[in-house]
Amino acid sequence: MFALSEARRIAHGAGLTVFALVLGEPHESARSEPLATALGRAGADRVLMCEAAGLGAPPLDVTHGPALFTAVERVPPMVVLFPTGGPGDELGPSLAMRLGAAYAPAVDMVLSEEAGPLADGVGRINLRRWRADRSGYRQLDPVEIERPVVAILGAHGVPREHGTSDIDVEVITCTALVDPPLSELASEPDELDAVTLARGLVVLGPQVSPEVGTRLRAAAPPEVAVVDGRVSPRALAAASPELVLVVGGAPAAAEIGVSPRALIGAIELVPDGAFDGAGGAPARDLVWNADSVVDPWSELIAALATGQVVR
Amino acid sequence: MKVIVCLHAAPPGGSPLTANDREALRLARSLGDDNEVIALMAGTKEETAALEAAWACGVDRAARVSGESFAAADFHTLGQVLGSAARTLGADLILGGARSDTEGLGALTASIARHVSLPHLANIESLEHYGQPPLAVAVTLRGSGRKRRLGVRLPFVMSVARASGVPAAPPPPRDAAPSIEALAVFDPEVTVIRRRTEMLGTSAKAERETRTVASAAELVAVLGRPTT
Repeated sequence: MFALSEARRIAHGAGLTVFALVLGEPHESARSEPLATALGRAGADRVLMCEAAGLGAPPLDVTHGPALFTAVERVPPMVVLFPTGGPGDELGPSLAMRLGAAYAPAVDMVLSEEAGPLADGVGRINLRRWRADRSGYRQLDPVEIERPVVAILGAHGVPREHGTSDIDVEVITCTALVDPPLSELASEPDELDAVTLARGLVVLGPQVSPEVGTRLRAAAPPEVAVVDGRVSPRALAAASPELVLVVGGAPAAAEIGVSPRALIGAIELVPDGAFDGAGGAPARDLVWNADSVVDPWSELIAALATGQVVR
Repeated sequence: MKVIVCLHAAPPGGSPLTANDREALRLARSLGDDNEVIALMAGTKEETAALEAAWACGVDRAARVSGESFAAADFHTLGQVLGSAARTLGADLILGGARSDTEGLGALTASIARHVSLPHLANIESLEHYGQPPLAVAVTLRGSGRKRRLGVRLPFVMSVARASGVPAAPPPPRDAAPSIEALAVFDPEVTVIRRRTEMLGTSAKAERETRTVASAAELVAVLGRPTT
């Protein structure tokens, strides 16, 4: 829903239309009214529902990619936006290939000051992707590169309801895949999903004792994930939080592969115990003494969860 | 079974193989000695460090698509080049490290899949032989809140993501000197469409202030205060 409300915010400024795309089983559209209402309130102008047998399963490019492409071609879009933790990693690159589009994970969207060759009343938008070392960012302007951009929006905010519930729903009947080249053998909830969805990510290194780690996890609000830096590099790489704190000798954020959008808290413990912190780029790792960090930690984590980070 | 592992030239000064590339090589070799594993990359003859490292890891062949440097090429271009070479070599399974492409986007294997007209799976964490038919594997992957184990009928293209931050044990040292084959790109279309570097976007430097704080309380205050 955050992706929808962020799209609404940008669309309002740029004069664009927001389509929400839903893939599901046949006749799911008959039960779509509550969903359409929720999507409309979050910011969608219209809903496209693609129906085919098998589309209700967790998305894979093999099974869902062609249907997604069919729906996207109907629009056709300037930007295709996936939410963090959704199917963007799986479906986004292949969709970009089918569209001949650019692709970028972990982006921010901003309104552009540039006047463009677009119709009156339509503004330009930019998508920014920060480098993991915070030295700079890549900026993609769909008008400048003359092709759409497929992107995964970072977990940089919370959904806001500033749309309307009265929106149109269009149903697209897709062809079911016959004899897919894969089958599901087992499926279980992903215990690392919270890492991918986190707005704040605290990566613990070997200098943080298990006891301290337990206390930090207990103090963390739902938007903040406290994880051991030695496990789950795939989940860390898939995360795109607003803020990453790397604690107690954990690998550097660039090494982990995480691409925080807004800020890496860069804090170092100097020998006398005072903090030397940098709130901007380029960032250094947080090498925080575990004992020193405990007292202010719950307060710090609360600050991370406010979303009011340094920009 | 023939397995191609696509590598990307690592930035200067670092490890010749990214962690995900190394994991892709490890998974390919774990399928057994009766399979042929080929390491493949595109670049100049000065950019063979990744292939030499792959050779040391025990691949059966190492091949370089000769030509100019592709270090700054976007995933569309690199996928065309590697896909063309993979078609020439032939493969039942093509692997690549997740986010090992230029800028760490994680799109290279999807691009290769598109250019060799094979299905694609992203971010597999494990790979093993699986039942019938003979050319089938089982993979584990995560996405949309689920951790799934899938049986996959080959051929396929897959990207590999490390499941664990604990490094795998290195393979035993290999005595033979690296033997790296040079492949030419035969598909004229590849040369026509290369260098679409604008697809990566324009680069900009950070324009943020740096703040220094002297206490945890001050840090908390800074984090909670938006700045311009």
